[in-house]
Amino acid sequence: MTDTVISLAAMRWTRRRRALVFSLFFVMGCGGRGDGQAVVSSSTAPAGASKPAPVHRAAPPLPDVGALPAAGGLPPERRAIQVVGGVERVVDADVARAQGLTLVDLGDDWAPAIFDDGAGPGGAVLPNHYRGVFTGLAANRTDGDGQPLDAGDRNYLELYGVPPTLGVLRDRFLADAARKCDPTFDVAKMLAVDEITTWGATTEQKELAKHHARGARLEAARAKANVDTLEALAASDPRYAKDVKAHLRREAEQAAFAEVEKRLACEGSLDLAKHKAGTYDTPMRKAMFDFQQEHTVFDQADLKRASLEALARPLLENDFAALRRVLAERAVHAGRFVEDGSSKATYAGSDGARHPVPDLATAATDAVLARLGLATPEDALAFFERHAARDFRSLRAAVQFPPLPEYHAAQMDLSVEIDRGDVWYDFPYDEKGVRQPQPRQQFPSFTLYTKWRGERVALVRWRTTVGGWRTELAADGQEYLRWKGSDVGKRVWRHIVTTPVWIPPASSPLGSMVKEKKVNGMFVKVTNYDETGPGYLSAYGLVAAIHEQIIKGPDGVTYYDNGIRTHGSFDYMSLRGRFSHGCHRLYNNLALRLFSFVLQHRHARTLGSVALGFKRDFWWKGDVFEMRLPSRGFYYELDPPMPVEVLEGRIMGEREKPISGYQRKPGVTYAASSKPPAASDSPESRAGGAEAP
Amino acid sequence: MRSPALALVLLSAIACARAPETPTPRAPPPVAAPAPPPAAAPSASDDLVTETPESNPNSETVTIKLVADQARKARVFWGRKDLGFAPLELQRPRGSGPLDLVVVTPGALTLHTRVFTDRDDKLALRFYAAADAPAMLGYRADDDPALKPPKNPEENAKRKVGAHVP
Repeated sequence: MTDTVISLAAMRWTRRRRALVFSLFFVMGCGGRGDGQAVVSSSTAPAGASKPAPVHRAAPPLPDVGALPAAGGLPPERRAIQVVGGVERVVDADVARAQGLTLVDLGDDWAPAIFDDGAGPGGAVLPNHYRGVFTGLAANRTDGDGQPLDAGDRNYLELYGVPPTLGVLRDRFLADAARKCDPTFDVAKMLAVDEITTWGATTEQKELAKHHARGARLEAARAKANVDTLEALAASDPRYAKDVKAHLRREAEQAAFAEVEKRLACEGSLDLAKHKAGTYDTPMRKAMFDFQQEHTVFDQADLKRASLEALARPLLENDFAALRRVLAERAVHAGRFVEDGSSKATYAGSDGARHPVPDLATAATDAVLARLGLATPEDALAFFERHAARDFRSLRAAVQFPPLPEYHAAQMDLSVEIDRGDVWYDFPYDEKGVRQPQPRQQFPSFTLYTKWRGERVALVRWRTTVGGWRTELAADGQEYLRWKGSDVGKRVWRHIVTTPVWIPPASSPLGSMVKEKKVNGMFVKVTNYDETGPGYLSAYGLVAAIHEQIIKGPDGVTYYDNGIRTHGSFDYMSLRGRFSHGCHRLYNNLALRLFSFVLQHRHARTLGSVALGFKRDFWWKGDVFEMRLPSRGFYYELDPPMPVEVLEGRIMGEREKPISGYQRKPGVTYAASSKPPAASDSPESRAGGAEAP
Repeated sequence: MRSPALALVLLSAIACARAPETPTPRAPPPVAAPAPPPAAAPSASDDLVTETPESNPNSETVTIKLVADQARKARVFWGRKDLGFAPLELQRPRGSGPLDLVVVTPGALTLHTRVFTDRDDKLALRFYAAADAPAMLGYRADDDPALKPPKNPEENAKRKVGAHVP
């Protein structure tokens, strides 16, 4: 990026001006309109008009609130950018701050502030080691261990809380603009179906064979019936109607599948040399999963409507949506707010009126886009074309954010309420081992409140998880069902932990504790640290808060950990209705927003990395594997602790209390003499207040 | 989640890294009323021990020490690279990611372990003889290659010396 003003083509500006002005609308003040000027001059008045033509007043030029003068010769640390009047300029970051503008970090070295190093006694640095891993993952530089990616490897980790850098998005935009994929596939065929049925490799071959056999049967019947089409066959002989319908649906799915193949091949994610056309083989499945992760589609390699719609969109449109998501995270963290429109609550203003809790995330994201002149995918492409990759080492935008609501303050009286929603304690199988439906209308919800003018104001309300019936490996090596509850009642958050480590119980199946990994140019078996963390795949996600129970005794207050946390989660699909082992999961990016906000608005001390010194040796297929977990994670201590209450929810079914201990799982053959062993007494196991059946 | 050490004193000495923007802290929010203890006695939360500060946390490299009896002839591999016999000392760039190591020792089961580059690291290598295996966590006789007939003499010879050639 240069210090000088960067001119954009006048044509480009004209094309997008309307959209840009629209986007800028909300950042502009109500007053300050200049006098409108007639735009119909005498020369354009209708000839021979007997009376003056009506004067058309164009929208007066609106003041560009937050626009700063161009500034040259600034040192890098004082530079920020703005697009003003369609022209990008460098402005003075100090002036921006002084005028109340927010500096939004667009640099590739960005990470949420919760990953920053802390300051210890005497100013000693408390290093947060994960920051470097986070930025390496976001920039496609490293893997989850912080080691270099192989050439051509990519991280698609938005769904895990690690958005790509702008440098990565720049590469995507430039590569996709050069691809010209749009004419190569037929959107209509792709969207002619709601989903494409897929199977595993063995089943797929059988299903394809059945489809061909059915097609041959129907074709023979059509010829015999002497009609032109299969539809006509179905109409003339209702016995064929069901088969014809199924056959035609499958034909349409196959046609759509062919278009998906073309699309993925054009994007460069499907290697046609390794893929067998028409089959959902491993290369195709991987390409589809990468696509879904890249574009945050929650289909997990299935080919459902959301995936098809994303595939049908032009490449740059998907990239623009990614840019918007990335800028949303940058904006929320820069603005130090959390409100995203999810609460639907109101608050009492000093004007005596009630006001809705605003959607600051959307408004601030719009403001960033508008200030950068990014109204369309083409604008974004132009933005990335005029900035070299090196510009994104450190780039900031100076943006006028929407005003914060009056309840915002440096310190806020925050609290959390988790409603378990509809809860079934009944055993989910009958005596014959038939699964019993346990429908829920109310799902678990997480609400962050602030106290304001004597009432609680909900800032965000998100879906979360609670415990339920889970399969567990018992000490006798057999699997049982067990109710894993969520700890109900008033608790506190005393510690917030980034990159928390989860210690697997000794009963964890050992197969998952070993994986194959490329190490220094060679594939070897290694201990699997994915689930333990630290890392985005950790069972506790990228950040967690520990629920603690306060018990007052003669010796003062004691805090008890019942094993429950509110934490980010890699298992993003579980937030759509599945159960946890008792913890309250959030999407990793929302967890990062939440806990950053809490630390920014509550008194907190940075404790730094807390020692764990955990070591476990285990045997696996003739070798010894050692698991070493030196740290529990990077700790912050809230002072005072923050209240969190878990509501019991609505108890459904017949039982009023959960069943404790292991229950035999229908369909599993147990050793004849075996009686379920006693369940473990880990903190997680105690949660939920279970009682005997 | 239990830790034997008590370090609240240390914690209280830690400076407030996130200084409040207002000079006077607000009154604390109401703390939840204590709920009765659950039927099963809960465990008191841990006393946290922060990691010992490093003497030079900004050094470009970290030192990793692998400690073992020299007589064991424990050979250490990092992927393709033969790092030599333990005890040994490695210098690695700080924050360059963990090293997954394979340690091969005559008369002992092959050991897979990990050392870290976030800070200086020291690891005493512990070896297990094949006879120790049945008592180990995760042992399954039906997965034990030592109990399966060898496919060929060469493989058998390798197994006897615990050879691992990355």
